[in-house]
Amino acid sequence: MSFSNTLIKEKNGSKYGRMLQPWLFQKQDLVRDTPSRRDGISYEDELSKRQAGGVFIFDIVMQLTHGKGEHGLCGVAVTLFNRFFKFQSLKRCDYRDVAAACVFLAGKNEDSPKKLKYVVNQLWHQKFPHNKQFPSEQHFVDQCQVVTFLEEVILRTVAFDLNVDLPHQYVLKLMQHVEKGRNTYKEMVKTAYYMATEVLIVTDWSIRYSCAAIATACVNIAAYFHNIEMDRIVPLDVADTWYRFQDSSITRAEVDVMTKEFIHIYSRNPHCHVGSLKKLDPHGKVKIVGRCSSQVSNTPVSSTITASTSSSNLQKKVDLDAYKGRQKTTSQSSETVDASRQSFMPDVKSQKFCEKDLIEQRKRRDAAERARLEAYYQQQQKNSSVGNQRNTQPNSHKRPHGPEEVNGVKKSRLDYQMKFVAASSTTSSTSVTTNGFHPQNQNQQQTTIMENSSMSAYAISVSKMMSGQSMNLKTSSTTTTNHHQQQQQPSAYQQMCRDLEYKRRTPSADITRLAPSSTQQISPPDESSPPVTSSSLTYLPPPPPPPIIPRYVHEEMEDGELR
Amino acid sequence: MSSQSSSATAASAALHQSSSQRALIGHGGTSTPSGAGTPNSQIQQSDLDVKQHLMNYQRYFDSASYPYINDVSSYEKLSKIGQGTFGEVFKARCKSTGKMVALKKILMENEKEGFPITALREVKMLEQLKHDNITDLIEVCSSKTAGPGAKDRTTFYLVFAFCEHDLAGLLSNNKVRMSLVHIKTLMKHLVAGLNKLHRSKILHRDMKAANVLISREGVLKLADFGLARPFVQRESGPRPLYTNRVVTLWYRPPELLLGDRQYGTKIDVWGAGCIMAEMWTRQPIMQGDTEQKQLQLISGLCGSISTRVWPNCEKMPLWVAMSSEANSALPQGKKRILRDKMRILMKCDGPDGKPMSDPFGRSRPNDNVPTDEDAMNLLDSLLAIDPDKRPSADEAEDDLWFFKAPMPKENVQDLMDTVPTSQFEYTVGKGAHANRGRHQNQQPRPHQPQRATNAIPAGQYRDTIF
Repeated sequence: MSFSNTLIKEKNGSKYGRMLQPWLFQKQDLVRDTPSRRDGISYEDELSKRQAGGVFIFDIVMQLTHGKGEHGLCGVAVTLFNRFFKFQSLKRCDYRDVAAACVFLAGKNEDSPKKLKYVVNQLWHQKFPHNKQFPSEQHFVDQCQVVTFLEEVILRTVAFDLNVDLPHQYVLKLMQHVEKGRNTYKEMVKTAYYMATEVLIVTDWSIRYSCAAIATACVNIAAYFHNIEMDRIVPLDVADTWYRFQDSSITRAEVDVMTKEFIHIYSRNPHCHVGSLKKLDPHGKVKIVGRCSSQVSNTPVSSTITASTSSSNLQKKVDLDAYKGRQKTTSQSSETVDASRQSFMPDVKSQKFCEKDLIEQRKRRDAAERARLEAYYQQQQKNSSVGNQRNTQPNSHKRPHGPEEVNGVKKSRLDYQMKFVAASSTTSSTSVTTNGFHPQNQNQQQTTIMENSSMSAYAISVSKMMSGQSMNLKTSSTTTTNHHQQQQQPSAYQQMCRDLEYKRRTPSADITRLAPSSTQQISPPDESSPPVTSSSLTYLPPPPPPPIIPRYVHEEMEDGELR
Repeated sequence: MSSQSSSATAASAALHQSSSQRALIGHGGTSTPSGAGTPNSQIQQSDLDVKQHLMNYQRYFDSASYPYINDVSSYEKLSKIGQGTFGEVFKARCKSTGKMVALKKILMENEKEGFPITALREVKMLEQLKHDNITDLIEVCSSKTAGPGAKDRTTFYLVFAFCEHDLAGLLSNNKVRMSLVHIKTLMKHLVAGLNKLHRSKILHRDMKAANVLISREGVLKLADFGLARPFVQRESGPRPLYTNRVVTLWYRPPELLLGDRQYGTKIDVWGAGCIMAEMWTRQPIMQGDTEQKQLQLISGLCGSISTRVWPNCEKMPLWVAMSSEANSALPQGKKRILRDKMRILMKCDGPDGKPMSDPFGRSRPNDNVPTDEDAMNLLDSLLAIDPDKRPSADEAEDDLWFFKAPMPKENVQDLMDTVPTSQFEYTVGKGAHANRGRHQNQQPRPHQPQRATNAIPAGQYRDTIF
């Protein structure tokens, strides 16, 4: 599975490679028992401390690199931080000291060392922003000793497992694989790239999922924010394997699950967004709620996050105030750090596609489709009992309107797929389902509509939408019911699809891992110099894109595709 | 007391979390959340007591458990076998498996920047390079030093699979007779290991016979990655500058001596060539004591360094300086006599498989025995003045020599069986044989093997028996 520790390799009895020790754990193990738990800190508090640590690390790195930020450095430091607190308790140490030590160690690790005195300076500034001078020489010396001591402790906890993998390169590879040089979704790729850092900070996935899985989820999240559906834009020959590209154990459902979890956490923790949600989410898909989940909200209620304690109630107030306050003071911030937060994420609104009108068309289509499916799924949910894995319960009684629509639709689609996971409880049949689903979708991309009985009615409706016909609501609901039954018995056509897919997929499943390089090669080596106050802040530019060859992906069939 | 301060720490941490948020948001806000209704100044006071924090940390973490790292006490130290680039090396045995290991201690005394970055680099590189011809890093283990007060530091040890011999020691032992097959096998291992290194985008930067280990099973392993570093291969644009002061002087290629800072894998290839020649000559072929001297020796053996053999040599940073009159480091007009000098030594094996040449002076007349031409060709190409004319490790692995009779074997186990005890050469400081009392010899061929008593620094245990 994508959260298994399969990266550990052994030769002659000694371990080597990108992960020497098992660093990936299941969520239930993390919830149940960590050193912090034993000291009385709940999972949510621990998570929030981890997030705070991640944000702290990010801030330090931003300051040390004069606002440019280094994804590699940041990512490694945050991963080390998370791994550290798998074995040490948060109660026993100030997480900020540990965060600074992580940055220090990660700098050396990634061939971009930051001098101790600058790290300590930054640590002090962040701790005491109102009184930035060290009270005495001795304080400085002591703080330095704290950092070097903690560095040793980190090394011992982490057992020198220093070749930390980061999702960023996997994101790029995945998008290259999906786009095959077409580079139409440059902005989305950028978002996904930044999202990789964001994900590491805001969630604890660095100790739960493999980097490939995280990367896939990042791409999915970015697509979500950009109003793109990955399953639509991927080329037809990788339609059901794109998420499996670098880790053959991920399932499509898992990707969605991760996406949902991220959105969920994101919406609950506005104070630790390193990017501006406003810029990222112009459609207002994500509703900000306070820390306390008991607050009435439109987002689905999580069963894993328990009711708040009194302190977090108060903190919730702060957070809401803070959030509102931040919104007011967006443009007036005097702190360079805050300004850097604003501009961290690329502006979704300014994205340019090559085929802009196609997007507009698709949006219109989506909106209409959503409205249509809404009614259907509402009915559907009343009929069946869905055993959702993670968080969503059918909130059909409280149908959200407006921006929440997409959330709802996404969830329902997840239910839809989940049903078949529940029905046939093996991974392979999930792939059968999706396998069966997509070739039918692909078939619909043709302008000519095939009157094949095994084709899903949903797909038919989609194709009809594309050719501009109006849909009859009733027809769709009845035909989609047929679709249900058809999916459960794969037809001969589907069988053939599946076999061919497997055959085609097997060589690609042996994709060798990225050649190990001793540095992440994400951020260029950078000798640190004393941070100067810089007014202009730019975020790290993404890697140079491959040349743009505009093509209409959706109208054509790729060579060799089944007809 | 510690619990109080740690809870104060936790509370202040929580408080500062929100206060830092406020700062970041640009709020001048004074809203104080949470149950700690105390004014800011008091919280900061306990935070300011950094010394107290430090002591708490030390007390807590020294007794904490570290499940993923082993303690050095799981190894039984047997003897000291030398001094590495940054620490002592011990021979030890694993208490549970009985496996022999070499424990390399990482010195941290003079470190102002915490854990030494060179050690980190070495560990990272070794963790990724697993190859038969590269030393095997098993793990890193730690030990708690029971030191007084603030000087309590952990010492870390790199745990390597133990190798009985090193090449320099074997070569200086006149009881060890290496046949052509042995040399060919060892060179094959050497080049294979070097290729793996270069493929993983790492420069060794310290190729010398003392850093080449040979295990009891007769497998050659490259060792001592203390100076190694990853390199970036960029076709266009400026390449990063690396430090010029690398590689032991006797094995340093001409481009480094001429100040090149954008060198590549070819510097290791030159070192491999020097080592290959050493297999016959039994001592390093060019033993200069200064850079200028070294350049003169290179010119004398491999021919003058000029644009005729190396078109880009004039672009080297130190070209002008070195070719000036005062330096006289680059004599012109010298012919390349490498082949002539080595011809006498590089003889094919006799019919009984025993080596025909004997560099130690006890040779029989061997004019009728042919020289191994393929070996000569390979050596010639490895020691090319122009770095671009040297083969890459990959190309060297494919050299014809390795595919002609007598074929190389899997290992040199039979050779190892003739050597009774471990032959370890020590290096204190830089030079490969710096502390051995050899006198300067400009000719690549040795007259007499120098077996003078080596200056043994006090307190070091020597394990060689000749």
